[in-house]
Parts: sequence; C-alpha cells; structure tokens
Amino acid sequence: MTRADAPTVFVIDDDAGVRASIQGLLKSAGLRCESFESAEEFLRRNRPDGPSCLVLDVSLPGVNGPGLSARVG
Amino acid sequence: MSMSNPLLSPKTRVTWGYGIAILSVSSALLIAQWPLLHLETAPVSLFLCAVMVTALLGGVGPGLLATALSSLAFDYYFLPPIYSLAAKSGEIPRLVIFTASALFVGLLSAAQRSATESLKRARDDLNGTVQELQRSNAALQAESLERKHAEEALREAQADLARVSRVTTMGELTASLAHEVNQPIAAAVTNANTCLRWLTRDHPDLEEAREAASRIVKDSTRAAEIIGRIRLLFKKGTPQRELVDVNEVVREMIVLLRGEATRQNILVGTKLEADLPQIMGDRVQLQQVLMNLMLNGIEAMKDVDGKRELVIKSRRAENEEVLVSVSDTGAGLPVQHSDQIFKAFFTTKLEGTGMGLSISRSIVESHGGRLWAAENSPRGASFCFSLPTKSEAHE
Repeated sequence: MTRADAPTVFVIDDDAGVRASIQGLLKSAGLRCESFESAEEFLRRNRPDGPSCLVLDVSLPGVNGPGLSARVG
Repeated sequence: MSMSNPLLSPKTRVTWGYGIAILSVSSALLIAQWPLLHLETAPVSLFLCAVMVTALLGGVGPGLLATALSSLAFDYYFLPPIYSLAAKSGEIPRLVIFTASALFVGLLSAAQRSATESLKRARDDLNGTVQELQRSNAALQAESLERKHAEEALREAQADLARVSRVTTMGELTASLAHEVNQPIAAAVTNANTCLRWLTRDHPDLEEAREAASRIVKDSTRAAEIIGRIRLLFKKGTPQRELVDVNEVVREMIVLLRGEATRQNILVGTKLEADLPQIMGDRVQLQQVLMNLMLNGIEAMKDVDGKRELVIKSRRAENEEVLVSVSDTGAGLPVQHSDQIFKAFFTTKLEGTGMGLSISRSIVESHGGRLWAAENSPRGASFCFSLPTKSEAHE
C-alpha cells in the first residue's frame, strides 16, 4: 500500500497507455503518482509543494519535455 | 415481279424491251386471228394487254412501239377495208380512240414500272444504308471495347501509382510510425514488470497483478491495431467499394500521424460532426487522401513561429455530401502557383515528388467528389474535399 507521506512522482505523457503503465509501476514501488496529458496541463495544476520527481516524455504536443524541464528548473 | 434483269447491260435491256413489244403485239394479233377462238371482233383488249405488258416490262420506248404496232395491226387487220392501212372515213374515230387508249394504257403501265423501279432503288439504298450502319455499329462496339480496356489499364496504373506514392510516404514516416507502434509495446513491457512485482512480493497482490495484466492485453491489442492499419496502407489490391465512416478514417489517420505532428510540435485538433452518413468508397484510398493533406499541413508549418495547429473538420453539406477540411496555420498557398498545386510533378517542397495532391484529387474525383484549396483564416491553408453519400461512385 502507498503511504500517505510517500513522495509524489509526476508523470507527463501524451499517451494514455504509457501514463497508466508508469503509474502502475510507481504504485507497485510504493510511490504516489499524478499524471498529466501535457506540459500545459501540469503547469496549470502544479501545486505549491512541487514535484518530488518528474517523469517526462521528450516529445509532447505544445511545450515539450526539455522545455518543461527548463521551466520547472 | 422483276421488271428488269440486273445481269443484263442497259443496251441489251433496251433491245430486249423492243423485242417484247414486237413479240407481244404479234402474239395478240395471232390470238385475235386464231380461227378456232373467233376473236376477230374483239381484238382491242388483246392489243391493250400487249401494250400494257410491253410498257410494264420495257418502259416508255417499247410501250410506244407496241402502241404504234398495235394501231397499225388493228388498222390493217380489223378496220375495213381489211388488209389495208387505209381506213374508211367512218372507222377513223375507232382507230383514234384505239390509239389513244393504247397510248394511255402504255403510259400508265410505264409510269407504274418507273414507280416500282424507284421503290426498288430506294429499298436497295436503304439496304445499303442499313449494312453501312451495321458495319459502323460493329466498328463502334470494337472501339468501345478497346476504350474500356484502355480505361481499365489506366485505372490499374492509377491505383499502382497511388500505392507507390502511399508506400513512399509511409517509408518517409518510418521513424514516427515506429514510435507509434513502440508506445503500446513499451507500456506493455512496463505493465508486465509491474505485474511481476505484485506477484513476487512476500504477500502477492493478485488484484493489482490482474489489473496490470489487463493493461498488457489492452496495450498489445492497440499495438496490433496500429500495425494492422499500417499494413493495410502497404497492401496491394484493386480499389474496393464499401461503406466507409469518414470520421473513423480521420481518427485512424490521426493515430498514425500524431507522432509526426508532435515531433514538429504541432497540435492536432478535430471538429467532427456526429452521425455523419457513410459514404461508398475505398477506405485505404481515402486514408491516403487524408494522409497526404495532413502531411502537407504538417510540412507547411515546419518553419512557422507561433501557433502550429492542424484542424480536421467534417460536416454534412448540401446535396447529400460529406465535406472534410484539413486546415493548417502554415505559410499558406503559393500565391503565384495556387492553380498549379494539383498538377502532377508540381511541388514547392525540397524533397516532394509533386504527386500527393494530384493523386489525392484523382482519388476524390473517382469517388464522385471534388478537392480544392482555400486560404485559412487568419493564416495558413485549408484543403477541402466533398464526397457524395448517395450516388454510386464512378470509377
């Protein structure tokens, strides 16, 4: 089971199948996970606590992976 | 009744006619003089018959000869004084009436002969015309068959060309198509690892493992579907006519080209009208048209700063047609060449073959539709095509 204080990993991928698979893997590792379809969606809903870890697809519609990475710092 | 023997020369025919005149008048005279028949008092009918037969068989000239001979014979043998050409003054009216009757009968018979001959000539002409028409008809049928064969060969050549063009385009898309196939496979591998992790725990979590396994099934099915669609585009076959859902074709092509669009940082949007009527057509060829138009749009936005958006719309149009448009926010139509873009071998791209739009237009037209280009607002180009939903598409 995922602990409430477990770190949150944010997954951004435009492919729903890929998102679901990574989410499942992270859950099996006891990590919390939130997934987003695009960089824009992530930026809109990014919370003040910020991500512990970001799993990014390089090729994304709109703002791409490296672009988002540079923006998040 | 044959009025003239076609095997005889005109000169022989004339001689033959005059012979008949002499023969028939002689026969009439002979019968009239035949002692056993006692016809000495009624020779007029016999001579008129002779004149009629001669005019019918020989025409005006022999008819006149028969009239003259009959008059002479009538005068010589039957008008007192008998056996003399001189006639009593009292008998002259009989001779005149006889001659006038013979002339009248002769001319009437000659006129009938002439009319009959005209009819015969007209009939011969008609037969000739009919034969001529039959020959022309046979020639036309042969030509029509030849044309049909040529049209079939052309259709086959066009289908081959379309396929070669399709395969070439697919070849150029190998990287992004491979990515599209790879996505569900990668997801399946991750899900398989997850499944194993749940199973090999100290306390295996079967519910989580089952969920991961069903995700594998979904991913594998998706990979197989994408491969199936790609394979269909490579397949060689004669164009088919089946009921096609245009929106479905649009969605399938988006699945295949999404990777290419994303690579170029392009957003793909759709505005597809629900419950569109199906159209009768070749699914693969229509996919090819959409592929060409979408790739053109993607290519047009390659060097554009700012919004890069490819929008595919479908809607019901007037006259029971379905209208599809592919709009980009790219460089727009080449101003000086806007009428030439549909011509074969015309291209504005560095590596283009110039066949895409030409093939697309011929595919759409073979489905009974039209393909045209327009400016997109505020910038870019729109390519639209219409397809009839009711009429049978012509080849």
